[in-house]
Amino acid sequence: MSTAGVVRVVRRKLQIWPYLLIAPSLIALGVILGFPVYKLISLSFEQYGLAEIIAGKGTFVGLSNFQEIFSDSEFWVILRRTLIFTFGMVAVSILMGGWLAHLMVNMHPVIRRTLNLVLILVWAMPQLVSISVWRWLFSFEFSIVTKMINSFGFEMDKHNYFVNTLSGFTIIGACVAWGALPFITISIYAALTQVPKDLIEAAEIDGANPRQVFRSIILPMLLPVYIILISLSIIWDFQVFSHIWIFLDSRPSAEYYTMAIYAFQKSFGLSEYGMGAAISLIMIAALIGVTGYYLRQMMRMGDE
Amino acid sequence: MEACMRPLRAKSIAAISVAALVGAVAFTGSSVAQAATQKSITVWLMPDAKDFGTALADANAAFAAAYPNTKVNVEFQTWSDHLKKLDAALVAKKGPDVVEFGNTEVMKYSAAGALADLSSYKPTFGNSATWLKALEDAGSYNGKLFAVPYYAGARAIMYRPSLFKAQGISVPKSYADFLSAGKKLMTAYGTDKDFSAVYLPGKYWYAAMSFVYDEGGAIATKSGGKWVGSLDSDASIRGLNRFKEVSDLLSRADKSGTEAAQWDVFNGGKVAMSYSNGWESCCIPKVGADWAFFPMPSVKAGKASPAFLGGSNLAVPSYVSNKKLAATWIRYYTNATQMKTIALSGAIPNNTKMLNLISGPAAPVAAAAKNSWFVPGAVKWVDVENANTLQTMLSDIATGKKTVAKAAADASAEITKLLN
Repeated sequence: MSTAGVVRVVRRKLQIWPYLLIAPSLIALGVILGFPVYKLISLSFEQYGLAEIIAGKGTFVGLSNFQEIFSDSEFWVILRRTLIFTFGMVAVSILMGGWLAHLMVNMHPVIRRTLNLVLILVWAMPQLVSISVWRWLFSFEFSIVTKMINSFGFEMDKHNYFVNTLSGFTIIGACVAWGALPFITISIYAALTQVPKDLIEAAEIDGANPRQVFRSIILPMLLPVYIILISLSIIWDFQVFSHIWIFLDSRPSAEYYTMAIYAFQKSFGLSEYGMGAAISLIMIAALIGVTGYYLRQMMRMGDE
Repeated sequence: MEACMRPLRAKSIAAISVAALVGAVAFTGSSVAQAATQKSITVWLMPDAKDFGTALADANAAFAAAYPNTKVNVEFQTWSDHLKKLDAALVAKKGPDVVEFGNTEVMKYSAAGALADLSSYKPTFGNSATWLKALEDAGSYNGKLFAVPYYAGARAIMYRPSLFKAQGISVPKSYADFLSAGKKLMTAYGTDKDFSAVYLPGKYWYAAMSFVYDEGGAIATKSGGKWVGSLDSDASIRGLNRFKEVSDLLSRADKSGTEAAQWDVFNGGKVAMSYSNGWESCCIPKVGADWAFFPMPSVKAGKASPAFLGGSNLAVPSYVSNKKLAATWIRYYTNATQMKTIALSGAIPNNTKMLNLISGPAAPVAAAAKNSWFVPGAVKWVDVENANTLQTMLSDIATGKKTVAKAAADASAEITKLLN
């Protein structure tokens, strides 16, 4: 065997190994994610209700599910409502999280540790428990919030906070943002501790004031973290389901429908699975549209 | 959903939430593992069965004695997601052999051909000649029996005798009596802002529709093969006006709320009357023994207002290969012996013969089952429930967001649209 032959064999082995190593995860992903997504897409082009379930197969209807959804005025209202709701929650949770993280850098260690502990407790609380607690805070009959307001000398009657959708969505959104706060705060705080101290010192020696240091050094260095957190928050908040569902007693009225609730009601409430699948696909498309900008930014940063 | 179900438990809500998005596709993948029908049968029941004394255990023991080679697996489901799981089983064509349905849920499945025709077994079921009509109707479609009546629940007015006595009020015999009793209680105790003479949440449609049916109105009627919403008829509007009257004058319940936890409020001691299920008396420890029932009085003096008859039916899915065996299990579980146990536990049995077995304070609730109303027998009725049409209409009326006439007309139009 010549030396050139040996080299070729080695190179070929090197080319196969990476694929072999990644194959199990690719296969697992294909089975767990690929198949359901394929079914979802094929379902969205079918009429698939109770009759089709029993017959064992759906009827291909082309784009008519999508046509029906797009021509439904309710859909556009729901989409707009979902986007506004998502934007509000993302803005509040990122701003609050960022503010807390920047505070934490300069906090007394004891206070910082306490805050950390509280954040982790919030994080560790099962979602169902925390939503139920929040729900009790604002319940009609036994609301502790109403009692507290009254203890300051006001005379507020028992109040249903969910009749007014603005107040209802504010409470639900606050609960979502509250749950997201620990992850956001701790991530930003971790990133902040990685900003090199000498860089800040150098800037200070060059005569930069604290505001300039913050704007020109700290924020640019944190940008990637912020972009990731904003993208993730958009994805999470866009799909919020259980909060609305539990706050409103598993029977949200039409004015509380978001995309996720709408898809669920169509699929499982009305047994229109084809329709539900189409709505889910539209949700995915909308999400890609909204997060696309951030994802592109992130990829660019990866290239640099 | 079905009337006598217990409140949603946290777990079931969690199950729904998990299904939120992936759920749209998840059902294609899930299947219910199960052994051959001959060796075992699987029964899906609701947790309510746990409150029926020894009925289930006795039925299984008797079944095991007759079919020693067949194992019975009882799996308890939750009201919020049992139909979703059933849809998955229907896709996979394997799953439970016997399924419990709420009586408002079953029609859609009978009509779609999802259930086995049990007509030929009907004479073998206990008391099938005296089944409660509302339950039998709920389980039938096109003259065929698809789901066997199991048990029922009805509502009556639960009240505090001590408050009635203190104000010298006797049990109301007519709607006029009821209203004046309520006003008297409001005058006596109403200075407490939390007090309600009649606790009537704005979205409590079972209560509101009892007023409607008492006046001779209806949710929808069938004419010429088409369903037409009839909440805007004169009779229905009279009933809705009564609902508004009680809500305005006698209730301080949430005008936009549901009845989901009304016994908790009753338990708080600031409610004189509520339109309650028989079992709600279980859950009011603070009130102690100071409770009793009377049937909701009608506008016609001396008569009771029709009560909504909720309940459950048992059915066999169409994919089951040994339908006879499944039907036999249903026969063991709904025979006279078991029904008697169920009746003695306080639930309403599936036949009129045993209604008088319920004695004591809950007897008026059983009596209420004799004069009942039921949701329109339309295949798509479940869609109206899921769209919250009635709840939305009622809270619009109770809060004053819409006039009675306008809210009723809107709801009626929506019901017509949804049912056809």
